[in-house]
Amino acid sequence: MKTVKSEQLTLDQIITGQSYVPSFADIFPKVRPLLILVNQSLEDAIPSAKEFFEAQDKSIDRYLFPHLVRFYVKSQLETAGLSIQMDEEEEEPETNYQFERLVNNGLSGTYNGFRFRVLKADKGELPIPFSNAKKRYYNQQLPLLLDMPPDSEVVRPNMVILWEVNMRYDFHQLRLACPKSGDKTRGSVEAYFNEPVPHAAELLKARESRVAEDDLDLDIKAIESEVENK
Amino acid sequence: MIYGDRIRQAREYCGLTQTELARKVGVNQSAIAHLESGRNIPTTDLLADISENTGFMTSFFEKESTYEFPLGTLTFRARSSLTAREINQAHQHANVLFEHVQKMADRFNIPDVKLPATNEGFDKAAAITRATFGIPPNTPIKKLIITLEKNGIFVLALPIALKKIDAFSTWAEISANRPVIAISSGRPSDRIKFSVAHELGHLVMHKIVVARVAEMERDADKFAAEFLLPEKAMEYEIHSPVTLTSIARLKLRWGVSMQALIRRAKDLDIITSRQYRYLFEQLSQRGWRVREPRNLDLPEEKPRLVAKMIEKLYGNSDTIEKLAKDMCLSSTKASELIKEHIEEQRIPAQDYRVNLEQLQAYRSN
Repeated sequence: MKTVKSEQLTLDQIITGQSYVPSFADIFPKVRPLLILVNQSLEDAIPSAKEFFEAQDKSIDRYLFPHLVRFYVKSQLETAGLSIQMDEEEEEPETNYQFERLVNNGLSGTYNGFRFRVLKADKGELPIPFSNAKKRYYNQQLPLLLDMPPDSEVVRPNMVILWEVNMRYDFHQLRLACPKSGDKTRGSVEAYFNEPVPHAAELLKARESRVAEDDLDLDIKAIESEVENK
Repeated sequence: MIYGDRIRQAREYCGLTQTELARKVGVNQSAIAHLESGRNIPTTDLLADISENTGFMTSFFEKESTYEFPLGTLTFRARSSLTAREINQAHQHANVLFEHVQKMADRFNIPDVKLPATNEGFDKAAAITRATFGIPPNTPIKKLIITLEKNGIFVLALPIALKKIDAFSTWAEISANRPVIAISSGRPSDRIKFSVAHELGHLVMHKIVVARVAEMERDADKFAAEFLLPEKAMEYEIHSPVTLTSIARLKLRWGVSMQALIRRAKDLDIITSRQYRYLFEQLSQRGWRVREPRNLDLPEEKPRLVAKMIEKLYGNSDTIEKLAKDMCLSSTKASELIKEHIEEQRIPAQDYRVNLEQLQAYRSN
């Protein structure tokens, strides 16, 4: 079987049985703006969720905490949809993504042709998929070809953005994972890759040139002929 | 005629004690002390040894020192983090460099000094200074050093890295009418920018010392914050949610460190003490209090006035030899002293030592 290096799998390639191995290096640049957005939302959502418990003088409930984070992330992402449009650093217009909320099941959406989910990591790994929908998602089941738009030529793998907190429930990092398979046991969950993502602050790019501008306008004039004679 | 204070200057420049220099040239400490006080005159051989061990040409010791560069704000720091030796070394680097810069400047039409003097408080002082420099209010200052140079302030980049001190300033020349800021090497651009603005605050507000040192330092910090990050602009720019990512974006726009921006947000009550602590904890966890992300590094801004004068007076091809001779320094010392001012490629790669031929000629005389 011939292996395709790009994440772009055309209908023709599906029909002819060519397979595709997703790689972090290929996919990361294509979802970079989305990762910045999710990272920034979590930076605000996680302390907000902590504050919810602190305001009631209660210790953090480890089951409720991720749900609160999801709630805050959702509203942050909706708000940030506007800010990303204003940010000239981002390569993608806001129309490239849309979010929908799944009950008790994280966030899902599409971005730049990728389907993605935002989930809390299970010790850095993909959580076990208990629902059938999530299993199908992990197993990268292709949509029915008949369901695809007539002009569709590209099938992109399902992605998962994992978020992690440290022992103090502070934001630790994001991971970008591409699930390969998953069932009801830990051992059944596999990924093509599951890599840590640099913090969003490390992904920003300066808009202006890094080269110092010329300073020829600093005008100093020699006042003695000896200067010219050196 | 050999001038004792020149021997002291060369010794302090090299960061040597009298005992250390004495050991290097094979005499005892009191002999050096006597030379420096002018009670004794060195023999030709001893002077040659001192020259060789300090990197200053013998002609340097024959040149009368007409003016001593003031310590300026270095005196403030003497009380805290610096040893006397470090202060002297920094001072003498600035002294030797300024002496030649001043000599070069006499041959040029240098921009007039346009710097307000006010004691109306840091916020007004910052606004007045912006107006004097023609910087619109509430806009980022992209190039601070060149702005200062265009307004007649000399900025000297010293090749030494001072502990805990990024810069110091003074009013120089005999009539104390030349503002000078000296910056220490090896610091990130965002930090240098804030430190230069801090020193600018001293020059604007503290020409005459009128308050306690701690108070003046606080005022200079507040001046720098208001000058670089005006309150009105910050109230507009820093908005919820304040995260490391949003602060990183502001760093790219305003050219100051993330830490300074977070501090500014706290001082202006834009974020709470709790948010402030949380953000700093996040910085610490990622190691960004020591080194902020490299992708956010700002373009390095070097002083240009000195480099321009050197270029016009000495050209590009044989800069070091002629310059070193005029400065009465070995080529090594001269290139080391100006390396922060001129591009790396313009400093010849060879290791220039004390001119032995000149030294032998001096000895034979």
